[in-house]
Amino acid sequence: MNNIVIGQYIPGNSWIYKIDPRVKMVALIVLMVATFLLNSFYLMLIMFGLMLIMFLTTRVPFLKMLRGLKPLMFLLTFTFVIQILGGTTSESAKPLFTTDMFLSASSITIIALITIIYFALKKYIPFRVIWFFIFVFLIFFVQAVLPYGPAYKYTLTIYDEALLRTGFLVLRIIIIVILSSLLTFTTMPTDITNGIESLLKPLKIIRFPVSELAMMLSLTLRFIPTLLDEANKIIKAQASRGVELSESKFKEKITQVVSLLIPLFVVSFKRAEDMANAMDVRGYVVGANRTKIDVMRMRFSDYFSLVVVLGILTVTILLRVGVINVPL
Amino acid sequence: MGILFKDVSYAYKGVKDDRFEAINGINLKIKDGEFVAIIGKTGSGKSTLVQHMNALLQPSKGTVEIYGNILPKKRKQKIGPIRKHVGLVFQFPEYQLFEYTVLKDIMFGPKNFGLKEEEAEKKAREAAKLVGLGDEILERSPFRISGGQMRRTAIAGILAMEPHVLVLDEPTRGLDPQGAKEVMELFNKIHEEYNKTIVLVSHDMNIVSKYAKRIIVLKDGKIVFDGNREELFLSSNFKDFSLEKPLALELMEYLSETLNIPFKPLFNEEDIISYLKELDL
Repeated sequence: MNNIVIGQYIPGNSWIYKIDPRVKMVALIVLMVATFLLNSFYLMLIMFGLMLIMFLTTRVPFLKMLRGLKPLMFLLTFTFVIQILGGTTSESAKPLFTTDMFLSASSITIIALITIIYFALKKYIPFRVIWFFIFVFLIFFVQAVLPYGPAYKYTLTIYDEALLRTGFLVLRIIIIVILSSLLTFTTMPTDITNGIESLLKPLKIIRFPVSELAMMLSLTLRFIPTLLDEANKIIKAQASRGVELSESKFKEKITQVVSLLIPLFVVSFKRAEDMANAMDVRGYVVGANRTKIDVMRMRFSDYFSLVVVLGILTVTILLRVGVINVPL
Repeated sequence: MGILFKDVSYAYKGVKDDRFEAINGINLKIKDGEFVAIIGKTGSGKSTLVQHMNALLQPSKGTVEIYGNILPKKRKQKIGPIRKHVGLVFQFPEYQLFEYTVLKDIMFGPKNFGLKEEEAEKKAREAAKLVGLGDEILERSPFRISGGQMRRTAIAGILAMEPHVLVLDEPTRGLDPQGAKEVMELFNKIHEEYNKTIVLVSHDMNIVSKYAKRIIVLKDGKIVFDGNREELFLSSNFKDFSLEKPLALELMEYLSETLNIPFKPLFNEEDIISYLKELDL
């Protein structure tokens, strides 16, 4: 129980683990800016390819990344549908595919039926994401093939431009997710706080308490597992006094939640007091100069990564302002 | 009735899918009216074992039967009624206090198990009296009383639920010797007067040898001994259990070695004194 890893850190030792956390954080910001500066689908596709190559060389398990994308599935599908249905504004767009859609008595019944079946089965089937796609597809498919009964007819036209725009948005979201999860997957929370402290150092000039902030961050992280442990104990103790949230009425639930929260507050304050005393005893003085055990040093690979990342940013800026012209 | 363990194993899930078997193939039967002590080194699985008795953990393998209710339960079956049979007093139980007054805190358990306000108050007052909390304390905040009183309040909170079995996970930990003695006398009284089953987890051999009628030794998640105190402390392979002997027994052995007093297995000081008087040296 003592070596619970907080956050999403996945132990490993590929190149990305050896990169300085400061560089990783700066690179994340720079690459995100670059991604938002891109304005065409094909450039986004190239960016996506680059990110995918980078991701594959880090040897972070692919499944973990997919799992990270899962909560976004709904948003992505929603974006997709809205963009496709949204049609087009420009004159040059070519319609790729046109069909008549019917909101008829028969199709609405079938859609309602599919919806009920989907939500009823949702809990029991594996590969839920795939089934979700099939569900969304079926809703439109049914409208196209079932014109029977009194119907409202409309025309669905899919334009190439709308398709590209959708792909562009979806890719952008995926890239952002891949980038930010790569940081959290491959950097320990303590390294991140150290990195933040080091990056914020210039703010010391305007009397911003950087090291105190970093200390607060690392103390917070340090106490997450401890308090989790403590919370677990309290939950169990109250459970043996009959607190079973899933089995009680709403009115009882309120007192029962209070019975968990108050002891947790008491314990946290106690811990905080002990911690403050322990820090005092070891001579912690707010604002004093402190040295570090692990001094972060930039190495060749760090500089190299920075150069590569800044290179990508430069190219995107140049593309954006039109200095470089690519016929894409 | 009682608690029945059949081939019970429990594995904690660790980081990176490795599993740690805290208890392994436990077969155990605890009947009504017993006073059982469960001992063993830190990490031998004592706490894991007793948490099964209260359905806080469900076995990964095997079944646990608690007064006719079988764990692991079916999905729809409620777990509350099972917990009513067994009251578990955790280590440092004072951390579970949360109400405005001591009385209200003691009433929390009975109310959760469906008792009316008045009935719960009646049960709470009885339990408070049993643990020796005076009426003047009942209206005070549970955070403004002494540590010993807090522990008594927490214990009363469990007793007020009137469980058949009382499971105590190191109830004397963190108490001064006097407080520890009082708490143990209290449990002994509950055991003898109300005929409640008591399951005691402890590191303190003096307490175990003094009160427990049956002792179970756990080692690496397995039961390695099950019997009474004479069998345990005088057995030839006692060393294998890596336990300490109770002070009174060591004193007795020392006396018989140095003063040639005939050895008799005795487990508390009063017995030794009366034995010595009897011998009339």
